[in-house]
Amino acid sequence: MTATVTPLLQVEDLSVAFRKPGGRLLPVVDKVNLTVGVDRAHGVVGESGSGKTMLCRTLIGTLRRHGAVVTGGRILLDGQDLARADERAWRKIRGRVIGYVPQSSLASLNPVLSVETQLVEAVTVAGRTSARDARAEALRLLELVRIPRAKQVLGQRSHELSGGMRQRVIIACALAPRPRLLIADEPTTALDVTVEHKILELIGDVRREFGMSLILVSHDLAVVDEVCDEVVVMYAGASVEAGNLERIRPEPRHPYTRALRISRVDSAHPGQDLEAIGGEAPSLGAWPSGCRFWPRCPMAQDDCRPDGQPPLAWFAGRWTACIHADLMERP
Amino acid sequence: MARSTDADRVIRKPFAALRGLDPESRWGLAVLVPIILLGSLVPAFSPYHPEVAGTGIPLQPPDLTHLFGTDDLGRDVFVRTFAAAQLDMTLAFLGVAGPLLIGTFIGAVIGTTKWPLVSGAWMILIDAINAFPFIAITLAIVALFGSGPQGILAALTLTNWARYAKLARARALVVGKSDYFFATRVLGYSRPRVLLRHVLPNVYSESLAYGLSDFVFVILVIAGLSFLGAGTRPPTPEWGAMMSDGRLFLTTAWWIAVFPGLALSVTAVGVALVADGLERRSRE
Repeated sequence: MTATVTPLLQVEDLSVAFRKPGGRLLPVVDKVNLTVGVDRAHGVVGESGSGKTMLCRTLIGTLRRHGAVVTGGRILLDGQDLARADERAWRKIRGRVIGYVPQSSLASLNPVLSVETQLVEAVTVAGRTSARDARAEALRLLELVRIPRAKQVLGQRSHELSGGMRQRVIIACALAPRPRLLIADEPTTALDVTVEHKILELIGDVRREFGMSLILVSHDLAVVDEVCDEVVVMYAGASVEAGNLERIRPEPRHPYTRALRISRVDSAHPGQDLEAIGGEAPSLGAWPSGCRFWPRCPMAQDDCRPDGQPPLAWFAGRWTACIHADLMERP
Repeated sequence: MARSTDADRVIRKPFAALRGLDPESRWGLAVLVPIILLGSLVPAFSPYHPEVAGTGIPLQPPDLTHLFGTDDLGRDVFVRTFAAAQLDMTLAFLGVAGPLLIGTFIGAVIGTTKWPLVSGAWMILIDAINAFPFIAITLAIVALFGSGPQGILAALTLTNWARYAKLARARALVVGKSDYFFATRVLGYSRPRVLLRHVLPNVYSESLAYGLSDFVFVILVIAGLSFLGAGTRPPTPEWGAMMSDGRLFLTTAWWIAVFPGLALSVTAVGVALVADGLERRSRE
């Protein structure tokens, strides 16, 4: 199912590489496509090293900080190509149009400033309210992210808050400018499972309330499934399966997506061994030729090995990079 | 949790922290407060003038009329010692505050700049200044700016900022790699805002801790420069200059050099005690 209206963000064949000393390029994201519609939630799933975080960093314009560059493709937002945007253009977009909830948020609040100071600052920079109303707006934001005793929390500093609370404050800061797109990069990694569920629920609810679009990054397909409509599965820098979760959840058509699904604890059968993906994810610069998943793929065949990473093809209602998608049975 | 609250209290509410001081700081203050008080009271209420010569009998040993005796020009050593306390401590305060503010700011900027060439050039300058023998470079600057308080301050500011800058840069590098620094970037905050509101508050506490121990060093530098004749000009009372004057009479009129020296040592020990106490407190 494709959105009929113009999408908010369109990533076309985006490639990103680390710049190594001596000018050598080390690819980390390879021709990834991603289309995020207005008021839609899009998931990005993959293992560590699959390039999902670098994809996010590209979408927030902080690649250079990490010593990486865009080597190809386009990122269209309102007809503007962000892949070629300079720092000045990014300054108008970063935080304002595209909000970002960073990965390891336990340390994402300034340790010497109070929650109120930091929220008021976010509100002031957003420029949506007068300086006089900034404090009231800060309190409103805290209540929006469902922090109990919000008034009391305003006066506290980072070390006095639990992990879940800190994450809520960070989300509140990111929401202050009312971004049209929120990127949450593993927003629940550092939290325990019960808190994780609440934060995901919060992100989903706030997204609907604001009519905001969302890119949720996770290594866990179930996390993405909880909040998102669509998903792109990444493996070794490439997108291997993409489309609507309604189609992909019951019937993955890429062996990697299928492996991600059945290697979860909750899909194991009592008395049987948990199925795990054999081998290790290839490290950067050591991607196998051919389909990047074939050394670990249970259904790899001889024709998977030559050529490059196969491009996505439309099959059974979603995009898949597996050239033997027709041979896959339901998990 | 107790650790960070205590550290934060010292940084954010120094006066609230004074109430629960540890013994070291209390002893330090017990020494410093009388010196500061006497420094402002004695010159104002003493019948003797600290600078005008020839009004008393020269080289009088300490007695009830002249508690610290008189020097070779007949001036009262007691009033001169405490008039000097005023000057020395004011100069030391300015001599610490100036480099601290300038150095910390420069360090924070070059620690978080995105241009490696800029920070590289500054680091060469900083290391060059720090590598120079301190007394040689300060003497050269005093020669350039002329002796007197402004010469001393210029020398201290132009050299000592480099120590603070190096310290602040090291701290700013850590802040620049922190998650909250990255968070301010992706929230779309401008560079000046991130520098002033997020980097500096996380950097300056270390400069402050260093500044307290630096205070002792700066007092010694001021006295040392004056002792060498490159500091304050006569007849201005200053501990180092007074010790230099008294040097010639050390065997016949020991009190001229010994009392300013004693005042200098006691002040230095007082400041060092306070510094130690506060530093340990902020670590606990």
